[in-house]
Amino acid sequence: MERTFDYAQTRDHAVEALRQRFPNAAITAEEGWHGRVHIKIVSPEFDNLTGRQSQDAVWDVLKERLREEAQGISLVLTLGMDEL
Amino acid sequence: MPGFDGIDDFLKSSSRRLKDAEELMEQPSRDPNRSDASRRHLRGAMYLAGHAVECLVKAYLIEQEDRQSLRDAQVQINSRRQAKGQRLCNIGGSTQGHSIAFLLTLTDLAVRPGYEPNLWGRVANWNPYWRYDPSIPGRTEADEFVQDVRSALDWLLPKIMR
Repeated sequence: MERTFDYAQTRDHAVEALRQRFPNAAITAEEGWHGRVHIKIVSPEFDNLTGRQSQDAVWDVLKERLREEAQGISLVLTLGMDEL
Repeated sequence: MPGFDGIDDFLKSSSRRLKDAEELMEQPSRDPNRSDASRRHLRGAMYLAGHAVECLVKAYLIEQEDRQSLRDAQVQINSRRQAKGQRLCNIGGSTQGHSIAFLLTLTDLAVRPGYEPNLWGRVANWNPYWRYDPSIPGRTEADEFVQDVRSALDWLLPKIMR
């Protein structure tokens, strides 16, 4: 059976966790399939990182801070300032 | 919407754009000894590889909605969005239609077994404006991106073939 998530709650927890780790980032969220959270984060900290390094950096934070609730996040788009 | 709108169009173009990208990752046959030979087509390869993902996600959306064209899938998606009070989407257009991240919000892929958010996050970083980008990426960046695209397509394709 498909698990459902509280979109607003998961979004708020994810954005708060990412904002603490990436204080200069711009972060937006959008609702995906059945309450899953899609996040876009723009930060100068991603400027010199590869795609893999950027993804690892955000998912390390989300898994550590949100634990099981991180399963409600289905996509994080990471952008450096140099990609805008 | 453009003429190439059917599920078969998207399936075939996805496979062909990936092959185009893989060709461009190889040593070129023209001016093979020029100093930039090993890198000069990498941006083009990354652009085409990401385009292959866009095509396959669109094919998946058509399949998910049990339709034969993207136009018909969009009608179905928009009737659902309207009922939920969400803004209507235009996935045949350039902004939403070329955004892998946006297309993914319309799919149920995140609940399918084996979905990897980390992988799809990397692939969704594809930018359709790379086709205008004159910079040449590093070999590692290009290799990793094309590998990620292959992994994403290998996982997604069996979910479309009926």
